[in-house]
Amino acid sequence: MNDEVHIASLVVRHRPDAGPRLEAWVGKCPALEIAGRDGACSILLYEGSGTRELMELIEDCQATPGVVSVNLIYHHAEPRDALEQPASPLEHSGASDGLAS
Amino acid sequence: MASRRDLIRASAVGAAAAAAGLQLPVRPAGAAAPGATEGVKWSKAPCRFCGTGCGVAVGVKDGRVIATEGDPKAEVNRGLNCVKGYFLSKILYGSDRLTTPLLRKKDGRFAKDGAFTPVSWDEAFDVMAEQFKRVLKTQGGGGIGMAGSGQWTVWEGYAANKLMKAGFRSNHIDPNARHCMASAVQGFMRTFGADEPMGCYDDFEAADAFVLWGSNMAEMHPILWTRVTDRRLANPHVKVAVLSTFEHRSFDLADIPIIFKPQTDLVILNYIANHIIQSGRVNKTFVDRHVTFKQGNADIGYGLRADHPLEVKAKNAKDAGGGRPVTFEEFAAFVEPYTLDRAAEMSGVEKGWLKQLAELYADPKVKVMSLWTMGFNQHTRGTWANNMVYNIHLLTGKIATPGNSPFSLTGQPSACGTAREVGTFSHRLPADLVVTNPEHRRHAEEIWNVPHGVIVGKPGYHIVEQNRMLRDGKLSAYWVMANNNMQAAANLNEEGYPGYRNPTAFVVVSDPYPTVTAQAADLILPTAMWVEKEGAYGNAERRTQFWHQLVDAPGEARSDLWQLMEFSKRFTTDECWPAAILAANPSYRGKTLFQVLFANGKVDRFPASQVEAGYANDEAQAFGFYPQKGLFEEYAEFGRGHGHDLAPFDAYHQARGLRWPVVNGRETRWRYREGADPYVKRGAGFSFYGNKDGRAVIWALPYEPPPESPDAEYDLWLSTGRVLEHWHSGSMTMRVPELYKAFPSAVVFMNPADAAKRGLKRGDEVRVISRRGEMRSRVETRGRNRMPRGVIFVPWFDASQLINKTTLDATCPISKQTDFKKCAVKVVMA
Repeated sequence: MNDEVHIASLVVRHRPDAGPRLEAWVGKCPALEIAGRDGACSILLYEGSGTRELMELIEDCQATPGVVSVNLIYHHAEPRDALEQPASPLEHSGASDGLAS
Repeated sequence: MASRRDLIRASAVGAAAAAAGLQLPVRPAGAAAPGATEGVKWSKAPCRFCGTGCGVAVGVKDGRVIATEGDPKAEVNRGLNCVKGYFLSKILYGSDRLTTPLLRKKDGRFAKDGAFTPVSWDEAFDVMAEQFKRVLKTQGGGGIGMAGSGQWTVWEGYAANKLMKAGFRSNHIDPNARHCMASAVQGFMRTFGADEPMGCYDDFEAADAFVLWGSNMAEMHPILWTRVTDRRLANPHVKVAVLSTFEHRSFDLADIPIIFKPQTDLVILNYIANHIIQSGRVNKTFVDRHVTFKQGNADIGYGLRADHPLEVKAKNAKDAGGGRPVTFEEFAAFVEPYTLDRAAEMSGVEKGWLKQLAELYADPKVKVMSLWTMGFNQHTRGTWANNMVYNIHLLTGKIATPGNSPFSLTGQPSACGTAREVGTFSHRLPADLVVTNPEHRRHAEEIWNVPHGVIVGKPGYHIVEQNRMLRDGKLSAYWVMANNNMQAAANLNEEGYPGYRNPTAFVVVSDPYPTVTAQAADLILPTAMWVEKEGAYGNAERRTQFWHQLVDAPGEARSDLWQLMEFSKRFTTDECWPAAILAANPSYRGKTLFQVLFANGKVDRFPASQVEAGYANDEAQAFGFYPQKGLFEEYAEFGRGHGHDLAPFDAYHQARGLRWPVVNGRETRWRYREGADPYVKRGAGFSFYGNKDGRAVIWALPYEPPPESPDAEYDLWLSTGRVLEHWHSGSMTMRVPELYKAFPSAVVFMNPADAAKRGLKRGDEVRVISRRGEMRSRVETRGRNRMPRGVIFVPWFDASQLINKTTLDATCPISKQTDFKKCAVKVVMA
């Protein structure tokens, strides 16, 4: 079986007072962590087994009281052993940089 | 030294922070997705799904789209994507993608009862042309019909419009946007004399209040919803009112939550107008200078077949759009009976909420953005509902200024750009022209370079009528492109299926996938989709967006544009036009429709060499000229100088879209206001120049009941609609594994007490039964939608659960748009 690791980020908009509730929910999800928050917006970082789990977490997050919207921003998958290799500088860093104008 | 894992995690956080506009750990330069982006060519395109028009960055490697990301440079979505947009690339690669034409054959020949058999394009078009010519001889052009789409590119819709209205001389061309936007169109035309919103998405950052009239933006327009959310959460004074017949995800942000009884939105709208007048908050200066009043005909029927008892009984079924001028005082007297007490009683909404809602509009200090989609449009009084929301914006002068914006959202990516602006409706021509106006026809004939008299002056069959006419044998050659109407149109059992399978009808369906509609056809043509061709869409805020062909279509799939142009080569004017027209214009004799419509010296004037270097263009290669550019520039002649100005073709390949009218290189964000709209003269303040007198119309319109309501036997309201994960009939999103798994099957959302009363519990299999048919599904009493007693909601994305077997094909009699939100059903244990 392919031992792939999926890394993704989510932007979550929520009522400011829902922050602690969101934090508590994330605390129960081993694949998630809060990577940043600014008032009514939190960034969640996902590292886990795949898109099925990720989609279920998005659904659960959306159902958390006080959460208003959840958007998947970034998603990457590759074999676990490749991920542990040292990083090397890259020529090009993604979509926004690659677009001509 | 950091690992790849560390850098990818940092990159993920950085991308999210950038999209959210947060100052968080900065995305390290050169750290995104190592390996994944090497050798990838990124290009821009608008999303393939809804009418929001998000910009996506499309990554191509080795001839395949491998990734899509929100385009940070796109003004609409600023790097965000909804979950559908994120998995967009996968819609191209479903395992059952059609790659060759399929014809029903028996004993080696076409047979209506034959089995689908792969054939060449030549054989497909030979048989198709033979069938179309049979119909031309026996029924004339009036026997030919076409169902198109708000998913056609601009030039595909334009080419189809020419082929049908000028080539075959048939106005029986209508888009599936009829199911989606027709009430909005008629609302705009009746009030402003010109289609499409005056405002734009910039209003989201300027409004003090948002009112969602039946719209569930959280699921259906999630990116625009994030803009509402940002505005609301960052500005405590901002209020959000959400009105619906059931509670859904958008209620999570609602300061004013309103669940009303179906159809009583009309009562609430008139109550608000009355409240504005009674409380002395009419903006008299604005009304005196910029508004006139009319009273619309009442008792207008329900757009059913003419012999239906409800149509026979309706006093004004034949003049549904009529009306007469009235004064402000008469309008005030008309809405006076719509008191708070009456509104509360009829709608079932607490008075306190209604009053708070009315105050958002009445308070001159509050800038209000009204938002709606199918709740208003799919309504047997849909045109009225659109007119009535404009009424309350016009009474208060809250219009065409930043944040004051009655805004009709759209459901398809080019409902505006193609269906509306190109005029692929059965009564329209480009740029708001109509076939019933002789001057408009003459103008179109001149631009199209065809003889006067070619365009027929009578509106054709709209898409609901087309199914009826197929069944009745009046339409006998029928081409369906870029839609899945067998799954979409109401009353499948009584109209849609018998129509397509009528032995006298020859039905062609062009689609990338074997949809329910394709399977009901006689000939299936495999279609290139999205970035497999060069395209243009127009979104809900008048933004026209282009993209290049980025990959090849699989197998023998060809774009709709190629199909339309290539098929036109098989017909001559002598076969399609009357002798009198040809006698008066002998130079057209013997010419093919391709020569007349496409190789006409205008459409073929740009050489294929003008296609931007580095991008393929299969159509330019096939025809030897740049057809997209030629068609666009010919089409743009309709609007330039007439309030619909489009920029030069090449400008759109550079910009992230431009909002028309584009005059002197500048787009227009707010129409009808001096200083913002170049068509408003200095000193006018405002000018609603779509109407000859420059004034918008406030319409006096009553509440009228729906054609069918729950009774003792069919005791529940049925509302249908969408879910976040799937787009419309699911023909694309159900082929994306992640989206399929997230919401694999339709369910019946139901109030737990309603379920218990029927001996049902969550997960039970049930039959949903109406007077027209039934379908099987499972009960859902929890989840994202919370139903009030007496109302169920069933999404329609699931081809294995066709809820349109039960829905009623009643329409708004003015717009001819079906009401998919209200009919009577019962639910029993399966």
